[in-house]
Amino acid sequence: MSGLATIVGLAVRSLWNRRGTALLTVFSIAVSVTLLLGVERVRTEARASFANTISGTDLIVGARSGDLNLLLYSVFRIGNATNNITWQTFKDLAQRREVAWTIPISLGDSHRGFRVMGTSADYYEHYRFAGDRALQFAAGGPVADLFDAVIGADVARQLGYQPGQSVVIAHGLGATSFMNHDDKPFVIRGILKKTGTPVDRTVHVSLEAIEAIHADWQSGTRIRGQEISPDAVRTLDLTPKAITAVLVGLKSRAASFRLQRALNEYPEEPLSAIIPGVALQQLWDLVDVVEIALLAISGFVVLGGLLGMLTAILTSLNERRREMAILRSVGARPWHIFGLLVSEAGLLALAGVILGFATLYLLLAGLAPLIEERFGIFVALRPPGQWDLTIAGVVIAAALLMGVLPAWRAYRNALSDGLTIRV
Amino acid sequence: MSLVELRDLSFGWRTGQPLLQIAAFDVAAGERVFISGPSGSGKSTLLGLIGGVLTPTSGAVRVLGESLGALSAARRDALRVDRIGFIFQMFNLLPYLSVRDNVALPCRFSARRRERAAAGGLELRDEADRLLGRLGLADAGLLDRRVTELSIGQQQRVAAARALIGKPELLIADEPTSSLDADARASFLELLMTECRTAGSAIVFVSHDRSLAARFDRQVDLLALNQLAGQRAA
Repeated sequence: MSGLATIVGLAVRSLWNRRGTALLTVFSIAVSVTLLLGVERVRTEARASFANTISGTDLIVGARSGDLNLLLYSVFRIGNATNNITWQTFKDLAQRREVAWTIPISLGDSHRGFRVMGTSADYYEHYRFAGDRALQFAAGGPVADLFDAVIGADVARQLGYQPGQSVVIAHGLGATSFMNHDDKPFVIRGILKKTGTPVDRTVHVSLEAIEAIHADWQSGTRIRGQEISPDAVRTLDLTPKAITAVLVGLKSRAASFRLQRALNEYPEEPLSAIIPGVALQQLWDLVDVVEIALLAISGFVVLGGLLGMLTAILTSLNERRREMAILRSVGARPWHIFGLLVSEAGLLALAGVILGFATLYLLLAGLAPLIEERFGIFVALRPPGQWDLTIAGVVIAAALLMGVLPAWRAYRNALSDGLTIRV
Repeated sequence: MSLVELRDLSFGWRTGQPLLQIAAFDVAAGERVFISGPSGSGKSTLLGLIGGVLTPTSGAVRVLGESLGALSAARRDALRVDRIGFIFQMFNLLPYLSVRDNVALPCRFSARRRERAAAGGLELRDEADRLLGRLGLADAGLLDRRVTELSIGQQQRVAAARALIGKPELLIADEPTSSLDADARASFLELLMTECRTAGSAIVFVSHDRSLAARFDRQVDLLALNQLAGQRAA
């Protein structure tokens, strides 16, 4: 039987005997570990989620604006376009030799908090996410008629929509809009399978439909006395005059930078062309500072938790001198006393880390739907990775290291007290 | 050969203030020695010196032929653990261990005690149970109980069983009966003596209560043994 097993066994039972205070220490370590792991988890999940949202698209083209703004509104439905690009520009772009496909998108309306996006049939064919996954229908099919809509999985789930149901689109982006396109209701034609991207939270219609519902509008309001009925609107030319942005797929990725430069210097109108990966990197560079600050704060919280543990052990030493003297009298060497206190610190940290992991996973499981709804970030429940295990190891190692301080004091006490207890 | 030999020993907690000065003190193997003296006379200190916990200012302490002054702290620890059992007045037992685990505790720190405990062909826990049984704590329900649920008298008997497990050559008892009432005191001492004889252990028993002295082979008055005691009085 090894001395270490004896010592750890004694430490476990001694801690259990003082479980009230020991549990408080464990909780404080657990909370700090949860925070540290959680910050990193949300960080990586957010990145993975963003990176998974768009793949296969080589360029995104919109009106002249900041790169990030264009990326955020065109792909992530965050923020708004400052301007539109003309249909002529889109046609010119689509006809370029190096372009394989284009997905025109038109944003600006909403349905009960979900954004409405006008697009073409190419969207269902060419849009890719999470590597090379294409959009698939869970029910129904693509837009066939002018007033057809295809909704994402979350829209269907949250609003309980079924194919064939009729919906009204609101003008503008508010969750409760006073101006509705209620004269021209849409019919849900299809529901997309869950993608884990903002697509799930989008109502898709055709570009022509966007044009049609705004045919009798001007400057953001319906023109009184000039209402056009849904039947009448079908007779009009519904070719869009402008769109918000274009997703572009190239025949050869090597052409990306050349075409990007050409578009950025487009003579007919001011455009911005971005490469999604490069723009995402800009986003990460931007939020890096915040993330590092958060990680640093979490690190200090962990340090605080460990210092709390250290305080608890140190203050317990005096009332436990008797325990140490008894152990000495039955043959524990000073280094056994030393080991007892170091293993106590290690055990407290170990319990704290385990509880911290449990709390993290409970929180993630509980909050994932909320995070998804609020921020469009999909937090997957992954098993602990390299980072998590490293954190666990570092926390326990730091606790063991801190345990050396009370252990050393107990060791000194053990030597000077001998077998008598002078309290 | 004496089990314990003290020669020209002096000790003080602070330099220049010696407390003990002993020309010679011996304990033979298996001998039962009663040391008396009023509180503060240095009884516990003497036991600390014999146990190798305290180091004399000058002079020699030999235990089982080994000169403690020549041993490293670790070797002194090892010698004490392997050869000496201790019983104190109070605070003997660890509250978070069961009665049985408390008794077996010395065997967790000393391979020699463990081997000697198992020499009768018994498992460690059986040997602990056997000793407890000999000391009148045979009740099976008691063995797994928490020590805090025992009476003081029962706790002291558990402590005695723990000191005796693995048959140490020397048992050092520091006022073990002081917190017991008169009846419990007599029966406890009786059991302790019997078990010491069975185990072949010598016993150095310190108490201020001279009424117990008659049961021992030899009685020593620390005030007479300590050459400094008279000086201080004068």
